[in-house]
Amino acid sequence: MSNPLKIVVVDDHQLILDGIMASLKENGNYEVVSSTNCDAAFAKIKEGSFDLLFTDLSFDNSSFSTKIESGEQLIKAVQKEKSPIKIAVITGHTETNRLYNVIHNLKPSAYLLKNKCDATELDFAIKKIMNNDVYYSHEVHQKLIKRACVEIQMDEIAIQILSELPKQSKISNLVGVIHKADGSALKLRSIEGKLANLRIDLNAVNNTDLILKAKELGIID
Amino acid sequence: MQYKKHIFLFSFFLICNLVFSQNSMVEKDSILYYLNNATGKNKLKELKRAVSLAEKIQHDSLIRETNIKFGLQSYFKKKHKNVEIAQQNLTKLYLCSHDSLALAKVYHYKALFHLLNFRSDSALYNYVESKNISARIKDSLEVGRRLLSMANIQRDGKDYLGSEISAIEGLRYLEPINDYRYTGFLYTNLGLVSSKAGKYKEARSYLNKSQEINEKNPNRKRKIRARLNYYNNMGTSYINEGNYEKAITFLKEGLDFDSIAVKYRSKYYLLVENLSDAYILQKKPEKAYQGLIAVNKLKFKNKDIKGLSTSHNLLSKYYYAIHNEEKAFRHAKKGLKYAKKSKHLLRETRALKLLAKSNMVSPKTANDYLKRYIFLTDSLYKRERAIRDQFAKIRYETGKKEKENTLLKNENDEKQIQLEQEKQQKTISFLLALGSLLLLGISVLVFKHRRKKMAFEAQLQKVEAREEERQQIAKALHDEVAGDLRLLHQQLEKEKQTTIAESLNAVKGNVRNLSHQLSSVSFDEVSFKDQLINLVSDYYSSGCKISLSGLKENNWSILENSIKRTVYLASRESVQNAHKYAKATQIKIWLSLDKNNAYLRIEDNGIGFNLSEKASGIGLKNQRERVQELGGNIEIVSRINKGTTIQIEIPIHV
Repeated sequence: MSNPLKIVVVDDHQLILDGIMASLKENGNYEVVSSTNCDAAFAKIKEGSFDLLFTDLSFDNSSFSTKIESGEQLIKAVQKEKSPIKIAVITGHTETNRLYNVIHNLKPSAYLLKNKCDATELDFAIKKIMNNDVYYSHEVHQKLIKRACVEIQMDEIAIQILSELPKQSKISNLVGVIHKADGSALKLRSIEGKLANLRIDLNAVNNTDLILKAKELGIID
Repeated sequence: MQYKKHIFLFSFFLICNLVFSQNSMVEKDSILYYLNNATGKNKLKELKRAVSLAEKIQHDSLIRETNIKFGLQSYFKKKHKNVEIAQQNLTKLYLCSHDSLALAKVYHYKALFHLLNFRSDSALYNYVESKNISARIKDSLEVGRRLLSMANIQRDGKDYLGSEISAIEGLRYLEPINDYRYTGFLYTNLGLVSSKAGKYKEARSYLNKSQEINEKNPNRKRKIRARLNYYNNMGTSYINEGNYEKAITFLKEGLDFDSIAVKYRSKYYLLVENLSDAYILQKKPEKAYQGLIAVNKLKFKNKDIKGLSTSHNLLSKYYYAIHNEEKAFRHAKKGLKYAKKSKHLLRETRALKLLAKSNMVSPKTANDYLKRYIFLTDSLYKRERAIRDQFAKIRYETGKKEKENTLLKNENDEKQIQLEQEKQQKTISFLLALGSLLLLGISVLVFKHRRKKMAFEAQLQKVEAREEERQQIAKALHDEVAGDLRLLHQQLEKEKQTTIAESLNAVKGNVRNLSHQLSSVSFDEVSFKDQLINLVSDYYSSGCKISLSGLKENNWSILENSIKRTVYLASRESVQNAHKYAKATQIKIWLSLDKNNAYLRIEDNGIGFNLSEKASGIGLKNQRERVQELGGNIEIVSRINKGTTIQIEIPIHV
């Protein structure tokens, strides 16, 4: 690690900023720059070649002269610059809508919750990010799974598959058991495709795990 | 098995049909058989049977044919009643089928019926009607035949002028269609009329013409009859002219015909009697005797009463000619008797005339005969004149009627055209009126629709404006009030005033909450669908199950943002309430959309609340306001411990 990672941290609370900086220094060889507002952060990012951006989502300190008022706007602006900088969100926002919106539209490399975050998690997340991986805090994960769970419940076929699967010894036995809304039977390939999607949505390693998780989440009885 | 059964049924129906159609075929055949082969004694009976058969199978043209034949035969047989029946049947047929052929026959048979009842004027009138109908349907043969009948009736009624007019009119119809039989008759009639009018030469040229045509008639019997008539008519015309020699040659030529006395008896009588008359008038009565006696005997044998009166009258004339007064008187008496018996006034006058000049009775009796003779001739003359007048009147009136008819027809046509034009104009103006009414209606509708749309748009704008206002308040609360509070809080913390700082923190939280409640949502970044799922996900847990339906099934993107926002915020409010205050373990959300409205129904099994309590809060009030701003309805039902149901209905467009 010859060149230290260049990191920008943006948060409207100085205390939090200090905390994050301290945690980062604890971990290793980082070159960290901080800012309490987005406009300044964006200017710095444009100037120098940074490797990573940590940003909050909402900023209470915006005034009339402020151009970039939120983390989302900052991320968009940075992404528009097409710089290779990695983006991580560190915020207190746990509402599904906010996090889903951010994850779905902006696809940050990490979504961390600052009230639960410590130096270890931060370090782990940075390693993952720099390894081109994605890291979400546990609670964020939970939220995403819950959301998937709600969506699955609205999906008649998914419910059918999840309730029928434990009764069958093989997946192929499901053919003829699962029916679409118009009454036609679902083909094996469609069933397998659906199961694969379900495993991703519920973060399950295999079909047995999927069933267990579905039961745990109350999707099936 | 089933199949076999079907075949069986099918063949059964087939057989039935065959049998039935055969039945009617058989009936048709037998009708045709009766029509063509009815002869002799049973002719009328068989025709009557044919009539009733035709009636039974309801075959219009057969009903017509059978009745025509039946009626005519009945006339020949002088069956008044039957003629009337045929006429009534034809009337019925006409009323059903409006068959002009039948109507012409109706009048024809009415005429025949009157003829049988010696009402020649009524007969003539009906003949005229029948003729006119046939003329209208261009049935020349029928027209010619009716005119022939008319000519004959008129001639009998001594309306010679009328008879001549009718005959000539008849020729106009018959000659173009090369009819021999009736054309011949018409010429004969013209000959007879001319003869009566004293135009003997003209009469004979007509008769010759008639004979010329008759010779072309392919029917042998008819040809012979016509020829015998011709000799007789030629004979009488010469007698009338006083050329007895010529008359005798013609009459004798007629009598030379083979077995005439047997085959053509009536012609034979006529020829013999006219010949005898010619001999008597020629003052060669002795030549007349043999023929007269033979005819007299034949007539007596055949009980020919009418004929006998003529015969005895002639015999009386003969005896006068040979100066046998006694026998002359006796025959005249007999002539009178038979004439009276047969109700033949003309023959009665002839007999009376013969009796009046008899020396066998006292002058007083002779005088009585003479008086009776004068009286009868007088009344005969009067009757004839009356008939003639009547005929003339009919002739005049039909002529006038025809003229009037053409006039009326023209007038009618004009009127019809005028009416048509008026009707057209009416239709056009009606259509125009309808069109303009329609246009007016459409424009009113369009106008109303536009106004409604404009009102709706204005409403939406108002909603947006309010929304903006709310946003500004929310932003002000969040940025300014909360910001100030934060600064205050930081200061208090620095000054270690922890209790106040904490309560200030709580106030800050409330302000944030309020701001959050007021804050709007936008569907630009995340769709309505996703946001609703996100919302549900936030509150979903194994302890509080939320079901959401109708979201994927409908296309929400077509809705105005303000409507989606209201639906979303209402859902959020309700779910929050159910979760936070009502402690529901089950929340059900139904969404639906049709072409007029968006619907939202949220049901929870929470503890419910009292709607009248003020505590039901700003949230609900806010919801109600938003829904009402959009012209929608909101209905909230909540009962303590029974849960809450909220139903919202928002019109989606106008």
